[in-house]
Amino acid sequence: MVLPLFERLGIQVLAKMTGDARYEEITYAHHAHLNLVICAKALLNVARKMEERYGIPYLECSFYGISDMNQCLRQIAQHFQDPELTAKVEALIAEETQKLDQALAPYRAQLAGKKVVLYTGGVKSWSVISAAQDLGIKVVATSTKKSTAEDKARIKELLGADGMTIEGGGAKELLDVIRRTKADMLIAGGRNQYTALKARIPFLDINQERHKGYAGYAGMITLAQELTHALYSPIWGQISQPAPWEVDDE
Amino acid sequence: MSKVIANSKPVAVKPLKLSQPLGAALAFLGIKGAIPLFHGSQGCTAFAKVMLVRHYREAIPLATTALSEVSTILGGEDNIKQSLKVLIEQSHPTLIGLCSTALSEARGEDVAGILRTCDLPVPVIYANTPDFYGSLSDGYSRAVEAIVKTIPQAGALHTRQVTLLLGSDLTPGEVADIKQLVRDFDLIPIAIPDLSTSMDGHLADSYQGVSTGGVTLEELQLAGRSAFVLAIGESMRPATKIWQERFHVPCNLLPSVTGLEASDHLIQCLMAWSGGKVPAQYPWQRRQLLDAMLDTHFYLGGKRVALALEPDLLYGISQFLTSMGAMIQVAVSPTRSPQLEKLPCEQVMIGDLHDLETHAQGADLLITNSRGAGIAKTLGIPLLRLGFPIFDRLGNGLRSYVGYRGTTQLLFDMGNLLIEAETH
Repeated sequence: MVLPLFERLGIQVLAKMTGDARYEEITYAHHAHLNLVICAKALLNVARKMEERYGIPYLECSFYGISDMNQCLRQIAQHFQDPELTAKVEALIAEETQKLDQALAPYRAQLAGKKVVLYTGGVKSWSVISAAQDLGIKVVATSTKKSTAEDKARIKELLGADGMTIEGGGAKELLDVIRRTKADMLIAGGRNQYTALKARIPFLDINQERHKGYAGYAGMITLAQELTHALYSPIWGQISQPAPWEVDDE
Repeated sequence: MSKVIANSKPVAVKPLKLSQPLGAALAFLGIKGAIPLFHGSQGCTAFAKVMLVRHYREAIPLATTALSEVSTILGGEDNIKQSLKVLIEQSHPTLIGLCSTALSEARGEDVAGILRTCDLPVPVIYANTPDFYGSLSDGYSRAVEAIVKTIPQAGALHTRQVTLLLGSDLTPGEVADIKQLVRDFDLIPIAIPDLSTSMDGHLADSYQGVSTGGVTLEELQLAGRSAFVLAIGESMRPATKIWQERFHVPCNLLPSVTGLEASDHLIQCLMAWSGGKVPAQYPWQRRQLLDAMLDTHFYLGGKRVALALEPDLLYGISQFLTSMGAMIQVAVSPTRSPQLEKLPCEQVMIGDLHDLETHAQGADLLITNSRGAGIAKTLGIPLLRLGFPIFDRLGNGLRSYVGYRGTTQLLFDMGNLLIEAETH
């Protein structure tokens, strides 16, 4: 979803770790001029080592959300100090943002003001906030379980003063937070899916095992679609309806 | 609300429509010891028989008056009389279901008049079913109307007996489930027709040449004393009307019994009639359905579905799909029905599978009979086989998508197809 963007900018992607990589790719990865660390803490070590050994600088960024994606491309342009590339990046951002604004309009109308609780680990706890905010969704709480001090600072900045952070774990605490914040939805990894569903709370899977991509500009549309379908599924009305025998008992 | 658009093509490409006599034959096969008899050419009968044999994987008793070019012009009275005589002597049926075909109807044969001049030891029920009108469900309904008009007899009401008037889209397995549900409420069901013991696929002791199961003639006569009538499928409305006029008992018509709400209505109806408690397994099955709805809504939400089915089934399945958050991209019916205007989509086409193919581009799921397999392959869309005929899958007799349990199964079958498509 993101690779075609680099292609359009004339940036050659030498190797992708660990997504969809080939052995051959990794053998020549050290010829790169720049490393991008995408939403990953685990691979920072690799980036640092590559900087040490081969002198390749690295940037940390996120592909989730329009503003983060824009920022990522601008960071790259800035790094290379190439006016032509900068112009290309700005043109691409302008074009994609305009296209997205049109495509997202119907979803934004439905998602605006909705409150979600985010329960993921590490970097995603802030990277997804930005994507949600781009859609007009309010993240009322997020987990900081596997986040570093740096992540936590970023979360605070993004969430503002009202934002709640969930330190601990467990289904009970999670449900309690959702109840207290009156959130409309939970965005979490697959293993919390059934915690939410059993409590009749709409849910979006953000774990890496999912089959749909939410990254880049095109991913925003998928994300908006999935969020809208989950929130507005007609099943929520039906599952809270009393059964025929329950009506009779009243 | 939807707009019904008739096909203006001068030709049917990839036909969806099935013949009326075929539907009527199916209804008669739900009576024990019965044999359908087509008043038409041998070809008409052979074609219908092949379809039934391939779908149910059963030996189908189906006879023909074998009209020739001469008898077609000069009148087929002798053919009818001769056929009835031979059938009665050789197959010993308890009932004969006589169906007209396009050939005899084009001549305008007065079959009812001919039957009045015959003195026969077994009842002969005549269904007026020209091929050139309607489709399978129309012919089936004509046969059910002919049955309820003549056989059930009035008498002292049996307060716990329920007559079930069951539409053509219900499989034998579904009829069995509905009958069991009625029994679980301490009521006695008489299904008209009853495919659950005739077309379910069971090994009989010997070849009989007549329907090996179904509702018996005695039960059919006794059905007139039912205190309640439960009809399923809009196509059963004319038959329900006849029943009401003849017996003046409470009749309830449910358009579909697939889906949470539709199944709730079914239970509500039986609760009211039985006056008893709900048997424990149904609240539990309902909980299982709710859970299945949660598990599958990720796969069905926002999905576009293209369907080509007979009207009752088209209505029931479309309603169910929309209740799960899916959208109807295109709906095609082979025949008209008042039900089509209530479909949850903008327009419904009266047409064929070619119409389905031209409008199904970009859909996520296709729902039609086995003839849709080629279209599904061409368009690269998964196909849920539903309706008639299904000749490339086993177990059509016992499959059930009705009630809480059946709806859960339908959700899983649809969900699995979509999961498979997603991971490809």
